[in-house]
Amino acid sequence: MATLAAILDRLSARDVDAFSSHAQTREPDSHRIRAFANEDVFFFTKRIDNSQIVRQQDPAAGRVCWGMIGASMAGAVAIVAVMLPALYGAFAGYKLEELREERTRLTHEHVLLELQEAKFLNPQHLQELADKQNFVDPDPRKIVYLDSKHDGTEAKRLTPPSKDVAR
Amino acid sequence: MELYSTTRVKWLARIFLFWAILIVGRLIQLQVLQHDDYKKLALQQQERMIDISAPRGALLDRTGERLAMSVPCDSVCVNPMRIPDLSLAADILSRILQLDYLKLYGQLKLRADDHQGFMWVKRKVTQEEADRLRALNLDWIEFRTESKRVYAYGGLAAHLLGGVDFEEKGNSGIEQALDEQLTGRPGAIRVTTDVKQRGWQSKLDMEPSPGKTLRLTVLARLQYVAENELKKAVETHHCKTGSLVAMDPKTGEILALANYPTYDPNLRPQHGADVDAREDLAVTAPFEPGSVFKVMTIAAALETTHLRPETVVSCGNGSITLFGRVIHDHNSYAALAVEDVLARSSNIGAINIGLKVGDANLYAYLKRFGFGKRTGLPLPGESAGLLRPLKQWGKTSIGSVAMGHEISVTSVQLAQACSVIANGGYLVKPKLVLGAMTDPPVRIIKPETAITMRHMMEGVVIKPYGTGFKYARIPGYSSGGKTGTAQIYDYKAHVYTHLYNASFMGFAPVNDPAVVVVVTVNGTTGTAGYGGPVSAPVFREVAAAALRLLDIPKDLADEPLPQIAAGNADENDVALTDLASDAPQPLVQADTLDQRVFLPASISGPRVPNFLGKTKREVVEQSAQDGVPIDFEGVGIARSQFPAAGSSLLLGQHVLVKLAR
Repeated sequence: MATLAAILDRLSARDVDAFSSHAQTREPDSHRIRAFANEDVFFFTKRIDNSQIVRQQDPAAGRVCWGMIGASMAGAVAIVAVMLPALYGAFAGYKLEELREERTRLTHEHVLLELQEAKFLNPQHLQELADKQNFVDPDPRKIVYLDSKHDGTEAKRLTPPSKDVAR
Repeated sequence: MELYSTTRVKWLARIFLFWAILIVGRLIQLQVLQHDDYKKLALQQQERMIDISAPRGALLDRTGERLAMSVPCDSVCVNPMRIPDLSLAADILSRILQLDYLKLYGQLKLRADDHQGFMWVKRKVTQEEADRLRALNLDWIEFRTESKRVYAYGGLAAHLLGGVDFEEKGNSGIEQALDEQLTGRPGAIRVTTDVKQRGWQSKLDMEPSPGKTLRLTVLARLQYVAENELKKAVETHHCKTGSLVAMDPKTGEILALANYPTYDPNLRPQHGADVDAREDLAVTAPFEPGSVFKVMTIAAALETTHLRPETVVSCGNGSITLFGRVIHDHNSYAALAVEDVLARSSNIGAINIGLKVGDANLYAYLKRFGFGKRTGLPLPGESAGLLRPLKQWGKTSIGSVAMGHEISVTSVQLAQACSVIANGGYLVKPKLVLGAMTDPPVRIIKPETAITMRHMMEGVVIKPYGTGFKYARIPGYSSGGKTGTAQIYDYKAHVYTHLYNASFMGFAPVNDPAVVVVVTVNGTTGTAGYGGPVSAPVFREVAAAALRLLDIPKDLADEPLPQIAAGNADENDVALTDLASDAPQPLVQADTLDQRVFLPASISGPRVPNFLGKTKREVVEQSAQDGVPIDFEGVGIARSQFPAAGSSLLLGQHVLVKLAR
């Protein structure tokens, strides 16, 4: 890109001539590479030979480097170690809440099943079932109370015949 | 140039400083000055309180069967501010919850306009309704878990259990009386939620305290039998009401307490519905007991006079004049032994006995039996009955009270009094909750008096002329009792009507009573409406069921009850003051005074089966099948038996089976 100065120079003939003469009189430079057209930007190359340079051993820098790496790792581990219980706690919290809700649900279900059981055991319901099956109450004569005594007797009264003291 | 750059940097620094001051200031405003407000808002978003239900305590029968229990149920609520379309919401909710659309829409609109953030849509919805709403997965519909009282056995023991209101607060029966024990205090847990409202941390805010489960003394199966038999009796005799109390005389535990009519506590009372069915008659409705009260009169006589069961007292040929007031008997007797006064239910005999006891003694003994005082059952509205103070007794009151008039008692009081006779003389307070502490038993009559009374009451049942003879005998068990028929007083007309309170008060077995049953049917008419034919059969069925359910061994031979010709005492039972029969009655002969008959010896027992060669178990099964009582000797196989197979077993006789290996 031409600079504003170059553009102005070109606009004046004198300056143009001077520019041309300057360009023509300048010594050719071996390190100069071809410029862009109409640009005042010039590029040069420089050859540098580093083949003779020898890297000097610096044990202190290595220690510093490894120290940095170690410290970073330790910091990372420490951060993870500090956060891990909290993270575990959060996950455990989710699990606990799920279990608590499950327990509540099961408790409710249990109560409803108890109610269902109680309804099945309703004497009225049992009577209806018995009627459907043509069951009848046993004849009192068919009922025998078995209460084995040490003397081998059966169907004998369970309590003394006379007990006139209130319990 | 340098100055210019420095100035720019300084300005930049000032701008940054000002910006930092603004930030810090804002932070101070948010985190310090408005800390509490924002914390509250944050907690509202991040925390939610969850109620930990503390259900109302269940009511169990004495075997642990659940009579009343609280079950969780859902209630539907919304935040009207969050509802995107009120009209659509009202449409959805009204269709599923069976609500009126316009009314619901109006309520939603009103609350949304008032910026109210909560509204109950319907409480205690059915499971099906809740499931349908949940399936919609609409975030503005919320569910709250509440509790609903359910009576698993429907109307069984309805008067006893009572009921609760919508907030599960007891409003009748035990639910009301023991509300404090039954009511639980719900707890709360504070749950921290994430952005998706999933809980991840919780903290117990308040410990829940569930209501106490109470085990009652009632036996559900006996209660069922009692209610059925009472209903049958009331409906058969075209009466209006009835009540029944079955009680363990030794512990005072109420085994059954039934009333008719009854109701289903699961159903909310409808506006204008008849509330009479909800009245616990056995506890709250006193009545004139009539002839059953002669038991107390005679017991007082045995305690305070020289009268004995065989002592003959005058029955005035059916009428007596007390200070100008003429009292007639239903049947006229010249004289009867005291035990036959009870068996035949002679009013004049009872009056004469009462006169011998005297006002003061009779009053004192009635107080001792617990009349005129509440029994202390944990039921609301219990009546103390009416026993007027002695100084308010008229000259003829002794005559009325002796036969169960001028006094009113409840069925529970009668059961308590009958228990004194049954348990050997102790006044035992009735109780409804197992394990509940009650007053210790107090001896109020001598044991010999109680035993004598038991045998005299047995006479009512086993003597052919006893008023309970045909009705109160229980197969396999001895029983005793007393019938009662009292005219119902019309308080408007100030006259006794021809409607009766037909009662029976009895116990079984006689030697060691395990159950006392008091039955009262109100509003019977005619001779078929007396205590014997109406209430005694109810006693028989209920007592038999109680003895079976309580595993009480039989004390009589298993024989069919003798069919003895009618014409005994159906009509002998009325403690009336204005009815009389002029028919002459023969003086009871001395040799008929002791007419205690257990069973006629002529009736033969079952045939003895052949037990030989059978194991003990097979013998037991066979004997149970044939109704033959067995005594065993030895161990092993049945090697011999007496009586021999094929012979008829005599009454009370057991078959002796000898076992050997």
